[in-house]
Amino acid sequence: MSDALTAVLDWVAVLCLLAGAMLSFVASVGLIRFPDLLSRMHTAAKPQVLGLLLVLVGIGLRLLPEETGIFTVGTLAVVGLFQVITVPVAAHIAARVGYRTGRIDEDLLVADELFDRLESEDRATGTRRYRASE
Amino acid sequence: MTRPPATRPERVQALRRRLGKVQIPIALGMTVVWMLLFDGFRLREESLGLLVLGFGVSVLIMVVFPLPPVSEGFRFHPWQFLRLLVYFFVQMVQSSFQVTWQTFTPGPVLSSVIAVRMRTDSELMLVCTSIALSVIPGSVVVEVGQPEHVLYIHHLGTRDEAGTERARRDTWRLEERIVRALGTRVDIAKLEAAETVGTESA
Amino acid sequence: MNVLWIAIAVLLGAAALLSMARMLMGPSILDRALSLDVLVASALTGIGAYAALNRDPTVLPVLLVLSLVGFVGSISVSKFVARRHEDALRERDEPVPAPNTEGGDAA
Repeated sequence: MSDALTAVLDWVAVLCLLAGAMLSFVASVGLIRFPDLLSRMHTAAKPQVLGLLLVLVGIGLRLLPEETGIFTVGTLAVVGLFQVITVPVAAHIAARVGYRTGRIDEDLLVADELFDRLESEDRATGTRRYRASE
Repeated sequence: MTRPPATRPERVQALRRRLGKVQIPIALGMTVVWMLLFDGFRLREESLGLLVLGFGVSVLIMVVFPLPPVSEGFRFHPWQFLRLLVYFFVQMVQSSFQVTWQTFTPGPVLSSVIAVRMRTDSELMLVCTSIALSVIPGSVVVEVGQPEHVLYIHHLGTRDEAGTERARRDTWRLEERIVRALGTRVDIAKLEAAETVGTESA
Repeated sequence: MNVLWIAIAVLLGAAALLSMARMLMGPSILDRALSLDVLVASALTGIGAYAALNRDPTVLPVLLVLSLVGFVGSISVSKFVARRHEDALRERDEPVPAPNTEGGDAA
């Protein structure tokens, strides 16, 4: 592989990694800045998927000139696959529990179409599972 | 040796029933992951052994932990799948920028929980749509209304009625991309029927 | 290019510090679990940056394992919170403490 091509790949790789690091940084700023759990979850989702994918591309580009073994490329693909599969599961469960335990700032909600459903369900079954904190 | 001989055929039958539940395509997918984990695609002497062993382990896992089959099945449309991928990545980058912008602009960031009714009945499409929604920043699936396939989505940065409507339409567009890429003919027909009804009523 | 590598390191360090701050501030255990997730994500990025800087594929299995088990933490915390929430509701609804039977579909 020619030196010029390697240099270009290196630059692209560094930019990818820089973008990934920036996403991580923005996510942590968002953690501090947003007032309730569900808003924070949105910023947390960024470095977990898009950031990691960028980093994986960066690693791949840096490792390409080194050795052409498919091992690294395959491993990177598997890492991306696992992350894309596992992150939504955790996000959904945390969001669901967060909503039900009232970890959501109602003053910032424009619309809440789930509230009515849960309330009518609770009235039907005679229980109250919803927003115990209030 | 100590077990009474009468239970033998039952056991064989149970084993056979479990083996019948093994879904070959999924086992093959797991084998590919196994090969990737063990560097099996670089051709060496032990590659074939890795392949056989990986397939064996996949089948064993599916016998020990049987899962219900992927319900209605799916159909793979390569061209549409490519379009889905492009759409997905564009959405991901775009909403990353959006959330970043919202993070650094002062003032409260409004959000909303909206109910979006899926237009197809397939469980697989529902799962794919909610995975995609969770991965895209700015939307999280809070609750799934089971019998009638409604997704309750927490959406960041919807300031008013128009914002929630836009979020709803985005979700439907995502669903449409997914169904066109992976749905069976029935799903696509249902989607198109729902779409014509929607435009007539609107 | 060195400047960019240093910028990456600084950004990741700041990210880790800020998510640690959120972890200390709370206010609920779910927030802490979430900030742990972000911390893990920055760790993944950092390990990836190391692998790219040194052109060293030996740390890639660490990335693999972290991406596989990273989600277990927040799921178990969520389950725990859901279970405790249900117990609290039950106690409030029934002043006489009933024998705590196993069950209730925890979220």
